[in-house]
Amino acid sequence: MNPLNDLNSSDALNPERDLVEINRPPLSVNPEKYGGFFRPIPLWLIAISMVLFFWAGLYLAYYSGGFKSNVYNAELVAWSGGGGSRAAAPIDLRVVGKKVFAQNCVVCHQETGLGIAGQYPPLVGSEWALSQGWHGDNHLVKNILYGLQGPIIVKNMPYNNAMAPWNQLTDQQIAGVLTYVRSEWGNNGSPISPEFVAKIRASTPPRTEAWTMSELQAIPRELYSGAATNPTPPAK
Amino acid sequence: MNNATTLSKIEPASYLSEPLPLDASKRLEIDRSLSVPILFLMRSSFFSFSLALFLISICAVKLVFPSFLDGISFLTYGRLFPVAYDLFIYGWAIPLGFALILWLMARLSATPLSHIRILTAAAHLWNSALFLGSLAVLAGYGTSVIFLEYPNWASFLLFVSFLLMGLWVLLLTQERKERALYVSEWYLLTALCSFPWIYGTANLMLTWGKIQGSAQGPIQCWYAGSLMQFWLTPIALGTIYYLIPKITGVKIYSYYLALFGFFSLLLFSGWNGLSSLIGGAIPAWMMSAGVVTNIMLVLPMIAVVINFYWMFQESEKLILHQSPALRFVAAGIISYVIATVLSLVSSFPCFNAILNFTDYLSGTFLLFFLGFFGMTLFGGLYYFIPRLTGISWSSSKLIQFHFWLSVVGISLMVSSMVLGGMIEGVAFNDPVITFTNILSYTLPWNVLVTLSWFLLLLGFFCFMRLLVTMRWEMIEEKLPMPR
Amino acid sequence: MNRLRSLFLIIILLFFSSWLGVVVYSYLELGHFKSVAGSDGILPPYYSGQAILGARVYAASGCMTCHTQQIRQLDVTHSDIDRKWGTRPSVALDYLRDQTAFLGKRRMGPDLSNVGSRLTDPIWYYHHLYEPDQVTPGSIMPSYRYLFHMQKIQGELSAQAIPLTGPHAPPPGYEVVPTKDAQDLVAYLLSLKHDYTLPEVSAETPSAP
Repeated sequence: MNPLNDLNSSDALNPERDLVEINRPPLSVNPEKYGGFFRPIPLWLIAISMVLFFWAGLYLAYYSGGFKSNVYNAELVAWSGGGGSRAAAPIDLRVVGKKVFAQNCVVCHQETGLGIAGQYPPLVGSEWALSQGWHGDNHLVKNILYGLQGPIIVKNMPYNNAMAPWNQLTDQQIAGVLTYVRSEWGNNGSPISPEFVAKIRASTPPRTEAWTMSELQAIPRELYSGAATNPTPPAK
Repeated sequence: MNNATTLSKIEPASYLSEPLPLDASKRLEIDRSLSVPILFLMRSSFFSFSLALFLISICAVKLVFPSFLDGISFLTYGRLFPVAYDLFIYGWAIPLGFALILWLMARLSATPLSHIRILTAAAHLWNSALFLGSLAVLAGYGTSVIFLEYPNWASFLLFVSFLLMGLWVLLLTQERKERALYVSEWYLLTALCSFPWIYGTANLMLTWGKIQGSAQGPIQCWYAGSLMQFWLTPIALGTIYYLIPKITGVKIYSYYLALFGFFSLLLFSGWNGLSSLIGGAIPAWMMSAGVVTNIMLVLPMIAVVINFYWMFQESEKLILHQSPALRFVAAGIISYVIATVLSLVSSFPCFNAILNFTDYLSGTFLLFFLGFFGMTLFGGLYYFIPRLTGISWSSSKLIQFHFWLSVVGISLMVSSMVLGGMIEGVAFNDPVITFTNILSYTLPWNVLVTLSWFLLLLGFFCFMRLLVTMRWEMIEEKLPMPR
Repeated sequence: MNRLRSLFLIIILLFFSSWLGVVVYSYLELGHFKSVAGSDGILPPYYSGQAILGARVYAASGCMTCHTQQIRQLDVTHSDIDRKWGTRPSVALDYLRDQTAFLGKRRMGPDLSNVGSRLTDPIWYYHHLYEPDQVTPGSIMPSYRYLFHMQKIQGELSAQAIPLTGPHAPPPGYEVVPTKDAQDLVAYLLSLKHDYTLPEVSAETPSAP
């Protein structure tokens, strides 16, 4: 049954004698088709298929919503890793903020929050971040929403650069990143809530240009109520 | 080959008697009767394949450099990408698959083909519909239904020409001299009969006439899934069931396994498309049916792969090393296993929630399409083309280059798409990560994918180079030129 | 002969199981949905004529290649709703008015099923279609400059002129305005909002963060 033996038989009529796949003796003098053996299907394959069929039946019975055309939410909570508990869990703004900061802010302000001297202003102890002096929480939110450009003074040092607008972030993300910045690296500002961000976002007319310091200074200072008079210690 | 005329005088009657082996002269007669339409179909499919590879490489570059060739209406990504995929499917997979069906059915039923003119005419019609349809999509007349982008007149012409071509094979099956049906024939007939049915139905509901938008989602997915499981899989499996016994001389390991694999594939394959709408706007039971059947598709895979595995085990190891056809087929079988497992993983709803809409699914599809179907069919071509033309391949180096460039290209592409897709999916599920950030995560993977498309293009050039050499030899030896 | 017939019969029976279950069922059941009477009119609402034309531009440009239009069910994932791409999962009835349901398979851009509620300024859309990477830094969307044309400013600046300042700004005295196709497309995008609810939408609503 060794097909290579056939090579020796010199069948002059064989048109495939010289037809080779690749510069090698022909391998194709085998008959056109073979029968097969009637070996049984392996037992383990039958077992697997029966288990799978059984599982399929159960799955369809449980998760088919009664085969109705208007049921979309089959009871799949077990699969999705507890969808219910996820909705109920309270959101820690600092955790959200830490992520947003790592994603978007570290490039300029650095992981230490110290910025780069002469180029990017620091956030640590910054009167901008902590809403001291003429700065208010509203300025901070506006700043994130539409960016900042031109000469500014931070901790008595001049900077002249541009910050990108981040209005594509959600209220929760902005509140998170502000809360994070104001409570990290020894800062002890109060948290900012998503509702406050939403309020400022709604009351600020959309703009395409970034703010300048003088523009912001012209806007009256506003603090996030509840924490303005009574600053809470940083949550560590 | 000048004895072809004398051979054709031999009476075919003597071959009616069982059993086969088909006599060599008879084989030559069948091959001669087929060579014109088959070589035409193959040539046009190679042309489409190189064009599709070229266009998809442009698309891949566009993902890395979005400003590359942008702002030009007919070169915009949203038009170029569907055209590239349509050329892969309607320009390459279907004509080439049809050519293989034609050859295998003629050989397996021991019947030469007659009246090839109509067949060739239908193939010409197919090509012109394909060409005009692709131009129409580029010009902005596409329908934006996945895999059915061609405007309704073009898809209708494609449908008609396929019916004309397919009718021929059915006639041949009716007149066949060899009555027993071989395993390959089960698969090939399935592909041949179901394609017009699924293509006709899907077009009837989505492009020729339009049903309500609320019912279009499931049908779009059903078509995409059926195209994979009723055309790509059966043709590749049919080719493998033919090639392994033919080249190695080993009988089919178990007929029962073959039967089991065939019928379980048929049972589940029409439903699996629904799994691409997990969580989507379809009734819960349809989604569950998609989940279940996509997981059950592992059964036909296991059945055929055990069969192939034992056939390889029983065969001479030397043949596996010598035959490029078998090497390509082996790569195809491995791709089939991996692609089935990847799609199995992505059909669990908990994983699908992460992987859906990412490159993971594109990677799985491409492994199935280029790895399983593509490699298997290239294996078939390395076996068939010398027998059709009467000329052997000129260089084993080039075949090796083609093989390794394809293997490296496909593995690099699929692994980077799967890994990149997983990262993308995890990032999608974290609403804190902005969308543009997710895009920046996928960028390095897109660079790798672009690189692998160029590797595949290079590999295909090796194959084309072999064909060109063969063509020169035909001219030099003044062989009857297939037209 | 008999074997061929029986083979064909089995092929057809098995094949038809999925054909009946998916295609015929969808056609008979989902394909004959009726609109429902909501508190503020017929739901889902009709598209305006301009939006219907815009859907054709959407199809012709192949937007579906990179943008999906489906919000996934809450039992599968919350991420679509957490990303603010919608307030509730999509159901089949949502696509009732669509000539072609642009479900999409791949998200290389955000989901668009509620883009009309998220972004309401037509000029923003024009600007974004013209130079996406300037409006959304990091975007990989290609420019759709062929949907716009440059013209000399006749007296005053047109209301629809794009405020271009970057590298693609027109020469002085010229402005870039959308063609009719762009206007239709933006009308379609603005009408993509599923801010109503339907009876079959599951009772489980996402908790507001």
